[in-house]
Amino acid sequence: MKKPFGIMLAALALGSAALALAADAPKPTPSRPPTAADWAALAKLPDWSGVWEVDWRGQRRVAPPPAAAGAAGGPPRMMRAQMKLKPQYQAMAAAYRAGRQKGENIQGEGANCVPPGLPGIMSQPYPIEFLFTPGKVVVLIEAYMQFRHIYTDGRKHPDDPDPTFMGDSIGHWEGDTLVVDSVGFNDTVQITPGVPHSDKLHIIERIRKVDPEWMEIQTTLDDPDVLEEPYTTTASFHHLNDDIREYICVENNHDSTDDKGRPGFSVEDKK
Amino acid sequence: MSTVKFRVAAWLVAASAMVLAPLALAHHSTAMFDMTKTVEIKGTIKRFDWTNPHTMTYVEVAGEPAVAGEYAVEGMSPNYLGREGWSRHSLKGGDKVTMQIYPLKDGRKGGFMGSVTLPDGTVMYNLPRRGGVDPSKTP
Repeated sequence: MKKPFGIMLAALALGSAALALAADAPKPTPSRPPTAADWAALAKLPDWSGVWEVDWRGQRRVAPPPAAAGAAGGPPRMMRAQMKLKPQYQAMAAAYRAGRQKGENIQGEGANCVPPGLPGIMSQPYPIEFLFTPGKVVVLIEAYMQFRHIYTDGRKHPDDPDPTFMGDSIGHWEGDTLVVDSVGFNDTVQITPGVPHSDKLHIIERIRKVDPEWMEIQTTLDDPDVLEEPYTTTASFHHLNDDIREYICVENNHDSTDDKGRPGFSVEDKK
Repeated sequence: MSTVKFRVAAWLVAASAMVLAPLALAHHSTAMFDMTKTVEIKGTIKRFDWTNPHTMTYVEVAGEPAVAGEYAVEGMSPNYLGREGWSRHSLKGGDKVTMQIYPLKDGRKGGFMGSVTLPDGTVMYNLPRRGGVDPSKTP
């Protein structure tokens, strides 16, 4: 089919505009096609195959922890330090909690199918899966059907990342531990409910497999504008004998949250 | 059949359900449901939606005007229940069932499912049970 000359010219002009934009954009991935050596190197990484589900001790499907496991491995641990907010943010957290007495702030945007972003998305009551591929680790997250890219190709964060739910994640291996640093979060991501983060927030995750049945993720929130000191939690994940399943939150959602955090529920049969 | 018996049972386990349920629900709190009491409804399944983010069961309940009508009962997700041995065929339209629900606080006909007893007597549990204990057998 013959294209009018004008349209071809316009397409050319658009093409050069796109090229000019690309020159200013963050470095794209992959920077080069993977080689056979890149694929072979993946075999040397620890085996994180299968799917993993956060383990709140005492809840369903929890195998008894290995009885004699020492500090190096085994038992599920949920560790939560005392969060030390700067004074003005303490007041903010208190005001948020006070709203609960009025029936506000008792439900989040998750009920409207908005995913929580990092770090909350990693510890939903649904499994996650790690996929290794040259230059990045991909995390598949069943809840809200999300994914993360953790770049391990040596790149730096963009100078001015767009604020996103997951942030910009770069990672490197320290032995068998994947250390991930993420920056660039949108306002959905909060330090604690009702407390926003600053542009300085880094989320650092140390992810490792403890034994064949358990993984552990240590998560640190480092935000010097909001926190007196970095805040670290540790969550355990047990191996789940299943695959990641589909989760489309808007498929048949009867729940809702209004702008004051008050819950709603529709009894209407929508079909 | 289809006599409605409201039994407001203060299960001891309701307390543990309160602790467990918020953890198990990914996307909402249980604030709109009264998790401190259960109500028993007997009726006929209209439809069982095997959908995310929650299963939904519509139960037609007959009886006194105050309690008769269609109940919308939210349940755990197909992802969760599928891993607990449920399937999309676990409940079928036309099944006569007895269901324990945590009722809506605002009095509308609906709630969150605790368990359901099938026509053959099988009891299916919607919520996690601590240590495999049958909550209905807890004194």
